[in-house]
Amino acid sequence: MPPDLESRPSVAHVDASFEPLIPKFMTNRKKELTAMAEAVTQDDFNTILKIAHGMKGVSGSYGFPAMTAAAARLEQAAKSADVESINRQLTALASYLDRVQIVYVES
Amino acid sequence: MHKAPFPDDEPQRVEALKAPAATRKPAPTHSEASIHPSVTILLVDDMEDNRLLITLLLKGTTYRLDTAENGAIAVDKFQSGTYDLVLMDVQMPIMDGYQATLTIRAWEREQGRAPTPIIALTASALTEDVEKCQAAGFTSHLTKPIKKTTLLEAIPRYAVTPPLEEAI
Repeated sequence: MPPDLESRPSVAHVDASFEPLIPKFMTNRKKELTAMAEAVTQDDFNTILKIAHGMKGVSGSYGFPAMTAAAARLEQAAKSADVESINRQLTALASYLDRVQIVYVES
Repeated sequence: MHKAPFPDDEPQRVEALKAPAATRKPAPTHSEASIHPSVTILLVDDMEDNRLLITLLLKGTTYRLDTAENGAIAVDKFQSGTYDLVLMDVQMPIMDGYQATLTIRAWEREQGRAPTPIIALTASALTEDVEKCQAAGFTSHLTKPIKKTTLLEAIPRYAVTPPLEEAI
């Protein structure tokens, strides 16, 4: 079976000085996934677009490139109102948040 | 209360978006920045995690940081406070960064004040976005993700240096 986003091991290399911010960062991303899952049931693509855009930016700044890429795909899916793709990305992101291993690196 | 004097090189700062990189003021070293302890920055971003990250990146510097969650709050704070530099996210609810900057620039003109440097924190470096920033009156822009070194170089390059007596 080819590796996909759900099964691939995921390691994020994060600046060690960011460590105190990471618990809140993870909690806020999970809240955003919940909000987007709710929005997709109401065909509220604009909300998904905004949240995904923010997630893309903040995950890039914190050093989670896999999340940044998934959030960018989610943003595109929201732009084209593609419910199937949105659900796929939301599932992938939820799985990613659950299993990502953070390795702190000294800057 | 101080408002930074209109430095001789202010027009160059305002033109920095259009000017080629080579004509910009060279970035002072970090130790130079530390001799101006009263540089006050207004950071405008709707995402808490972004605000916390920038706050962390500036920890250990002498910069004073104030924050606002959207453009409308930023305009209010700008009009009632004194800032040497504004770091402004672009996409925000209530009032976005373009509208906030247009509002601040109009207010500065009305008040006869020198323009305070406003740096856009943009998600992309697309020509279209950069042009939109110019049109709104941003002084310059930084592309996210913002690296610590980029931020620490940009602040002394653009910040209006407060009068020395207030810096001591």
